[in-house]
Amino acid sequence: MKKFLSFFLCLCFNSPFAFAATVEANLEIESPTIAVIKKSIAGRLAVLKPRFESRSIGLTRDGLVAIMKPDNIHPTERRTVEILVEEDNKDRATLYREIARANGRPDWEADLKRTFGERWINRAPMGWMIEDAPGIWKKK
Amino acid sequence: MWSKRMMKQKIRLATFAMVGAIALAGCASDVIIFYPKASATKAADNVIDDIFGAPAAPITAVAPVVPPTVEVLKK
Repeated sequence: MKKFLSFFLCLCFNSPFAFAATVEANLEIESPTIAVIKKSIAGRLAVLKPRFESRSIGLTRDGLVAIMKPDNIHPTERRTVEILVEEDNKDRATLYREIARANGRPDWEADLKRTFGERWINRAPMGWMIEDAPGIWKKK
Repeated sequence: MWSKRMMKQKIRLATFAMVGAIALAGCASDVIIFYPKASATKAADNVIDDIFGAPAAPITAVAPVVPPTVEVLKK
């Protein structure tokens, strides 16, 4: 009985460790679709960069781009910037969805959006507008 | 009423069932993979590095050219 009890306790305490052993997984980020989206975002970034620098647009916490001050944009350019931001957000959303899908975990999409949001903000150059807390913007 | 021996047997059986359930739960948990935050952060950094460092690809919309200011023309 004593032996049995020790086995039982061992099993109880080992289960959480068996659980934790499966935690680490490497995320797959190389797929033809992901490569195309990355190129598309990179190409658009060259055009959007001056807008980030002039703080007309900023980075949201969920890994997207938002127009901060439409009045800072020349009226003739406003529609173009709106289209670019719209397309960029579409690409970004597809990127997060594709990474989740490529890893066989579509349910990770929301988590990926948050992680990318954090990393975009962390890696953004100084002076860009970032969403510090929900709805609260500040200059980095 | 159950005899003392029968009671002992029942308790042993219940304990075995409980141990079996815990063991099964332990095995089942092996297939559960939590969101790997550390790996996702690394992956995001790699993707962002690629985007910030990648050569410009053709863009789908072009911002209109702003006419040069008087200052620029004077130069």
